[in-house]
Amino acid sequence: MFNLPCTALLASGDSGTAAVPPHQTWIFAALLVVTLLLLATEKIQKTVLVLISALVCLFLADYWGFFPHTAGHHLPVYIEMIEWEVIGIVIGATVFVEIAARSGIFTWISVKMLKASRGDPFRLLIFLSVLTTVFSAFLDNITAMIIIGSLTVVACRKLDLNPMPFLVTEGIMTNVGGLLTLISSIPNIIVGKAADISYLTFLVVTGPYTIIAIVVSMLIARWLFGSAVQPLTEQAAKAHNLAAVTAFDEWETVKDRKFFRTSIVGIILVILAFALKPQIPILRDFGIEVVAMLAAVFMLLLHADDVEHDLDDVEWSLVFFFVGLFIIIGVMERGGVLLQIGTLLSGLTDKTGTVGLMWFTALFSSVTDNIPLAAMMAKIFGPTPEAAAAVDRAQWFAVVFGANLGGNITPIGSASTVVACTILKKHGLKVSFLGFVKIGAVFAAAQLLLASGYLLILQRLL
Amino acid sequence: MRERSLDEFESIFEQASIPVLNIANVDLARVSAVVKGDPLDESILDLASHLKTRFGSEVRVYRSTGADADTVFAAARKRSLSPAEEPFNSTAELVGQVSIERSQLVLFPEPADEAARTIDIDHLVQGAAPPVLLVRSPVDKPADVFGKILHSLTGNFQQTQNFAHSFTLAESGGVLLLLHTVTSDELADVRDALQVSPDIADEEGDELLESMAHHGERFLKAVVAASRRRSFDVGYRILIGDVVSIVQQELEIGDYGMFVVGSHREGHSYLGASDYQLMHVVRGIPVLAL
Repeated sequence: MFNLPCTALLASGDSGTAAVPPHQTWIFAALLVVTLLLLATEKIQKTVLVLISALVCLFLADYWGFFPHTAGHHLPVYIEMIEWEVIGIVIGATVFVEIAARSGIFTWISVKMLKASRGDPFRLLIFLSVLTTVFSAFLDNITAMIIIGSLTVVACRKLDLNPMPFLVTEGIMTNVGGLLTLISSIPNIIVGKAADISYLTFLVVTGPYTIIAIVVSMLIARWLFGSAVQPLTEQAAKAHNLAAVTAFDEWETVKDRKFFRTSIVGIILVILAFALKPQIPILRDFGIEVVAMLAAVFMLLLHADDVEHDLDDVEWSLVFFFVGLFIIIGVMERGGVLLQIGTLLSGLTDKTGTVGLMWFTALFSSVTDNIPLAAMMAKIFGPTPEAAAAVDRAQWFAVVFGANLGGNITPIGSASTVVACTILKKHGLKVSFLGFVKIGAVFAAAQLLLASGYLLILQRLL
Repeated sequence: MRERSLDEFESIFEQASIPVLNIANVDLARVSAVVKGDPLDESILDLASHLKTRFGSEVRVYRSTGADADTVFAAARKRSLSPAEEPFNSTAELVGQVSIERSQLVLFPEPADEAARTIDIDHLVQGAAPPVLLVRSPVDKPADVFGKILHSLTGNFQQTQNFAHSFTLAESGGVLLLLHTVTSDELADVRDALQVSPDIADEEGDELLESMAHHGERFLKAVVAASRRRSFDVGYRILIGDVVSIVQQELEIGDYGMFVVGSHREGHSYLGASDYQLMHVVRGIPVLAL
């Protein structure tokens, strides 16, 4: 039986949900559906869309008297709805990653890996894919894809290879890498925060799956792309490709070696701080967002001569997207919409359980943004910390797996696959929607099947 | 990061990649060693023997009429070298014999007499098809000659095939420095040949020379790395000024085993005025005249 204890909580009104007339719930639900559909079509810039939708939700909620107007000092209810911890993580992690990337460390590692491949197509596919997976665990997926995708295009040009198999595989592997740590992707941050999962626990649970998924994905890529990624056998071809990759100099991508070295130390310290936070005095009393902000401040200190520029790189559009999104979800909670979705979800997944929940999340993520989905799921499962704690951990991870891997099914399913297709288009190698689905669906199906088995094992262990 | 577009990263990686110069190894299948019955003969034969071991060269030993045939034959056979039956009477005869043999390198002991020295060397270098290694003082360890090489370079960096002898002869674990002396007017051509990026092209003075040296070194190191047969440290420095004084200054401080000068095109040596001067004034170490 699918366990969704929070549905009762949402229905009881203890999470802030008062008795709402059905027509109001339906109007809010319609607003949510329209917002999600418009998000999927990408006709309107997503931050603007979400902010408009949030304002409409707020005005309607206020008109119908959802918000109590009491005297005294208190935060406005729409401010309380915003998950500031998530926003803190996004701002802190963005600043940290932007400055670290400016040190050239990621481009340096990329060129090193290219050279280690010796220019052999299959080794190159494996090395760049593994690198994409690792990078997307520490960078945001778009940045990881831009760095590796750019190198792929240049390398393939030098090696006379078709970049399509490499770019598509990399786009898909970013979403696998997004599973690795608590801060690798936004859905992880949202779910991790709601379910109170530590950085280390998250890594221990998703790490083994990520390794298995990389191996399986490489075998699929070898089978799908055939001769395009075939290992070289002729000595002359091997020598030619080796010379071509040897001509790359990783140090050319680093402008300031001192900053490069200090950044490496900074990155190691920050990763340790994330991983060991529960054991570090004082730090353990704070949330993970404080570690993210500390990491940002640390990197700003290392790069103190360009702080204004560094802070300009914060993804303010994403921050405002979250502000709007959390307000929408807060209103939906009070409007009874989340209760309806929870009930619907409960019915849909009654027979399929945790695995069904993952597939539902994956299918939903394949056609629209996985962030609103994760935010909604987090609110449905954990309207309060107590309710969240009562939910089976495997169910939380089902949402994480589904939200991350679902993006691999279609070219619009995730930002990194969109970037991969953009790079291909830029170089005159178009991949049609269906063409991508034929490839992406094979990868996604294998990864989701693997995740299904993994979740069943997790259910027993967690 | 958003503003650092795909174009920007592609440009970063394009600049990190350089075309590998096609500097083929010189075929040293046939080497000519010249002996003239003077104290440098032993050094010539030791060097020839060393090249035979390293490259599997077939070494033909030519003797002047002044050299004792029995001594030469014995010394050659001791090192498994092949002595020519007939001695040569003049430099012109030697040039003819070397050309018939189609040698790829000539090892030549410098005459003690200064007048003869100039005439012999000039005739040999200008007449012989292969480059000539002029040995001017006894050589203790032949490997040391090729252990640290100074190669003087002028012009625009486009005659890269001239580096082939230095690249071929440099010992594993050794050092090769290409010292490029240019005039201010030639700087732009060299900058283009080195394919420096547009931001570096805006630099001036010492900063520009440093950047160009960095780029030149990348080209040359890539050649060594791509060959994967031997590894030696290759350096490149570019300076503006008088080539003779710059080279002499470097030789004073550098403890080099061999000096390389001139250029070799279409089977002939081409020595500019400064190359010619250097070929004669560099005294303490063997000089390879290309």
